[in-house]
Amino acid sequence: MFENNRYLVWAVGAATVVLLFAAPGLVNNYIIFIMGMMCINALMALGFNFVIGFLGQLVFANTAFFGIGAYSYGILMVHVGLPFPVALAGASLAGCVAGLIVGLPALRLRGFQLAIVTLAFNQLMHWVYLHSGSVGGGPSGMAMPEATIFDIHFTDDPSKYLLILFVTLIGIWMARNIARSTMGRAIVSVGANEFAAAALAIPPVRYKIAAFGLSGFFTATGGALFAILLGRVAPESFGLSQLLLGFAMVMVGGLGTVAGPVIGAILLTAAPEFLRNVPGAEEVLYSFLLIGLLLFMPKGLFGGVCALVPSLRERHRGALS
Amino acid sequence: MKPRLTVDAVTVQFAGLKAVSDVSFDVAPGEICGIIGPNGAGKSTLFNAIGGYVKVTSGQVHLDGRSLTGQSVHEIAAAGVRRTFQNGGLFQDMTVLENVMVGLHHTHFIPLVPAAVLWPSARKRERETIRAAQEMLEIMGISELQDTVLRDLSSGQQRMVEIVRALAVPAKLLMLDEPAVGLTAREIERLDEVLRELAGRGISVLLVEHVLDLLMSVSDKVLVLNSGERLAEGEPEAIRQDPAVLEAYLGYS
Repeated sequence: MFENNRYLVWAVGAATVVLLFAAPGLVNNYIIFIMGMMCINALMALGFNFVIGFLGQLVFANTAFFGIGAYSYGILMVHVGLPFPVALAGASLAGCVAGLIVGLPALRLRGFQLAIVTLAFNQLMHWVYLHSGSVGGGPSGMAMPEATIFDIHFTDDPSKYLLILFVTLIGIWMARNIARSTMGRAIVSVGANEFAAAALAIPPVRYKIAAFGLSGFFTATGGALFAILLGRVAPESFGLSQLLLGFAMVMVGGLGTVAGPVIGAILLTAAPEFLRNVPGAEEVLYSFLLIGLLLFMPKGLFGGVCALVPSLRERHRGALS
Repeated sequence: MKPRLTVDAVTVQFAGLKAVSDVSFDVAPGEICGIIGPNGAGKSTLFNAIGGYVKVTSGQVHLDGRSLTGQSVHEIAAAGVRRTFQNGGLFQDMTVLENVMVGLHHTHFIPLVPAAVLWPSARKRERETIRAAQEMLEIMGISELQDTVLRDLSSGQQRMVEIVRALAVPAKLLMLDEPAVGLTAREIERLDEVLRELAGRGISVLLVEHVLDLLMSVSDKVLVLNSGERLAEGEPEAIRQDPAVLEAYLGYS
């Protein structure tokens, strides 16, 4: 029974991936653009989840990581003139470093204080973007050069989408592997009970910092892809609403899982598009969705489904072993 | 035989109050040492001092001749001192097997990058970790619980899992803080057997327990604390008859 399930999961997964890559031939460019945004938001929500889900700390620095990813990519492309895959990797690493730095106050602060400090960091980065002068283009931002590799030009939305999808799938796979490894178990255990984790020879400080670094890495990768999809970066993309959106995605999908944030990102990226014709409906829907979920499914949609189908529960062990 | 644990004139002072005062004792490899004393006698503080949770004001703690004084909790744990908590030391959202695997962190560490890309060496290591955790559960006879999420277990089962997890890395010294709380008579018997098995493997045990029948039956020696000071130390039978102990502690029960 279990083995059959496993093959079924593999078959459905493989079919989904094929469909996702075939999508540009099946749907129009508008939908392709939205699907690209879903991928980007999925990476952002995944990154967010590493600290608010796995580590269980109230941290709001993720819009900053997202922006740092986008701006680092832009600066490496425009001013340094790196090939785009190198700039993309550089942006991810810049996010990782930013995460490690923002993680330092988290060693002393927790709860509301940590939330406020990280929120302040968001606003600080927003100020930096606005006053970035010739480096980042200030309030008007900067245009991205075309991403090109081996004569493949990622200029139109379908080709950008395929690139973004590819990177996102790798990102989700890596996040899943990490969550099921020593590192994932250690982060979750430190989040659940720091003293008990230390009593098992797990250094809490190292894994708190690691969670922030991973968070920055995945979120900044999303940010760089965002810069590629839009073709430009500007400060207004990295404000408070982006932060709330990311938070809602993780909460709606399910804290502390890999599937949850991805599901939340897909739903909350799609929802506004269906509500375009009904002004104001978006905010109302978000509010009701969040209130309803927190009341009836405090662990999010994926958490709620797992409660009904226990075999779906995400493990913290043995990726593919 | 050289002692496993040496506690030498340890004093722990909190803002002028001496919670533990000039306490010395040692524990040999494979020896079970029970610690009793009225509430506030300093039993938990002594545990916390050995484990690095509170700072030792003066005195020394050695494990196999190596000083633990001033080290952090995870370093002391890595040296082989493992403990259980009075309540809430387990990870409730993880399965039994995953809990034990967390306990294997130190000996079965997998670096981040190989783990993230499922490099063959990482997968092999992870399989070894799972097998090691399963073996631990088998030894304690709770293999059938491996995929159960912790919150679905009885408190007796949880206690067993916590002991297994504490032992997941070859522990040299196991400190149990009231392990019998909430256990049925049958489970207490099982705990008695388990502790003897562990001692038979050369693991030293420090046991704080209010269930005196268990403590007196299983301990090789008993240390009595009162108001932070060592009141007496000896074999369980001698302790039962020590007039000072009877007055300070047993007399009340």
